[in-house]
Amino acid sequence: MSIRVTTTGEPRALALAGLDGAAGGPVVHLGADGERADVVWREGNADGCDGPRVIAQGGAGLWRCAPWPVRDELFELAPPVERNVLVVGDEPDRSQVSEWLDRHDGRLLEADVLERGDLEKVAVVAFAQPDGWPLPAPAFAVLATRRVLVVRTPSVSFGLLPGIDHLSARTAAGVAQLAAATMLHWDAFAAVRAFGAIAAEPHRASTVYARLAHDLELD
Amino acid sequence: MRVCLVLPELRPSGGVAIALGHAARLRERGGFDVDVVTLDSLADAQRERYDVAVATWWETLPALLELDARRRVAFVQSAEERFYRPEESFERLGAALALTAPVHFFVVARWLENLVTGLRPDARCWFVPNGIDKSLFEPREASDAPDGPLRILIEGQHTLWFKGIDAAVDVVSRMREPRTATLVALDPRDAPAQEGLEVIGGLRPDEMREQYARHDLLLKLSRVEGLPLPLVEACHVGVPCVVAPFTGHDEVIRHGENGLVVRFDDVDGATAALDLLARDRSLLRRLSAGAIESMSGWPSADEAAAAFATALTEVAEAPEPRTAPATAAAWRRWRAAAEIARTERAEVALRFREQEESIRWLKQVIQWRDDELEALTSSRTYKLAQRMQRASHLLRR
Repeated sequence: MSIRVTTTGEPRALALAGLDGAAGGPVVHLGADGERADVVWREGNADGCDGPRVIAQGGAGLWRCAPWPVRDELFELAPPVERNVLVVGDEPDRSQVSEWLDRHDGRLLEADVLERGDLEKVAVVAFAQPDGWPLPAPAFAVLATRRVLVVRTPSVSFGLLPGIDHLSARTAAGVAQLAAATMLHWDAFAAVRAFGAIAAEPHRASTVYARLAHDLELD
Repeated sequence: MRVCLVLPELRPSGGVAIALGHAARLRERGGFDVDVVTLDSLADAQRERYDVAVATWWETLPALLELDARRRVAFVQSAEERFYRPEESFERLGAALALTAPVHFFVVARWLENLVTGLRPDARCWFVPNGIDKSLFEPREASDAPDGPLRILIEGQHTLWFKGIDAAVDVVSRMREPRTATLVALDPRDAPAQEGLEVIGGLRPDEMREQYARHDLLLKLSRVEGLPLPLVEACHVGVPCVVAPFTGHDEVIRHGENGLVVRFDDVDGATAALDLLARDRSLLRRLSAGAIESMSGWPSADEAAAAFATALTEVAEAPEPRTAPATAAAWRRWRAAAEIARTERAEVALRFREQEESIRWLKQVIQWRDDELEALTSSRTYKLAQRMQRASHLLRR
């Protein structure tokens, strides 16, 4: 069944959260800009008071509050070959995590933002967002690919259960410690990865955009 | 076939009711001699020999393993470790270990089947759906869904955090459109007090059916479910459901067909969905008709009991699961729990040090204030002022 929604946006956002094939219908724009779209789906906190319907993970006046959907193909991504950890975030938050990890284990990659290609190279993604922020927009993409998600305790978790389907810590050192433990004892965290994939399923792009198309029709 | 069913207790709960229903129907079918025992009435069962012993709820696993049975089965009705918060780490680990026991598994939902087969490829897993008494939960008359305030039914035990009752009550309170709300709990004591919220509890199945029939929709914003039977019951009666995307929801609810799926932690979105249904009665009626239609293929209680009986027969013939992979799985779960606990301990210690630092700083502030006060009260100016104040009092007298 074709879903009558077209996704636009930055290539990075579309690779993580877009919908395969444009089928006409309302336009959902992922990431920055997109003021002329029917819906804009921002990353992080946003102000939804002006312009079109805004979805974001936090902020005032939002039309809906939600993380990004997960592009369907990511659910089929092959299991990780390398036990690398990717630390994602702005400085200085990222360094607080990566410096600790670098001292304990060298298999470390760093990035300002998560990209689809990163998911192929790593087994663990640690978001070093500041305290009190909601769960990062692409967090469920990590879970869908059966990588382990580690975050600073978020203000809003969108149904995730810490210690069950992902790992969370209050401090940067805690995030680093959990990421290191996951790499060292990969098999021990099989249940966390399995629960993570289950938690990601409602965020499958084809499911989310079909529901969104229905909601927009009724709105 | 001799079967022993091990339950934690007989107090009413969804999981116990389902297990007891299977036991009753197996007896009616014939060919099955079923004993039902609880954790405080094991003595007789421990002297018996069974073909298959089945336990439900993680705390019954030790009793299951000690029974004399040719085959043992964990009847998994949810992933129970999710019932506990991070600080309840021992309960979490105990519940997690239930899925590592050297037993076979019966599960009530497809998502549980995927989970268990993924984590325990060495064991066998049978999908045994939850059936429903179709003669009891029959569709209501169409006239049971009038216009007027939207009549919302909230189902769940409010004392269980993962049932999301506070969230559901909050969402209803934010609605702009006229509505009424009823909370149905197993035990209605200590329910959230809110103007206009009726709270009832301890209902029999026929009374529950009546409640479905006199409401327009079922609102369920749980964080965790196994296979949520209230959604199945409500849809059979013709009551659409507004649900969060908890595990198992997608085995019953299809967005726009028999209900609406809202998002976790999206209070405004959930409120908007309820307001929409309050305004758009044609949508509500369409979802109501869709609810009945969507349940046409749902198994009846007898069909579910037949599936349970088949699973029992097959498990009795299946080879026993090997102990080594089960033990390895248990050690892995322990390792993960230990690593998580190690980080939590470090963070608690850090928080303690931060608190100590705050207390030390506060003590310094107090000491500084005391020193300042002492310096002030011992100054000549202060003493002179005190003497003048006393003189002033004397003159006034």
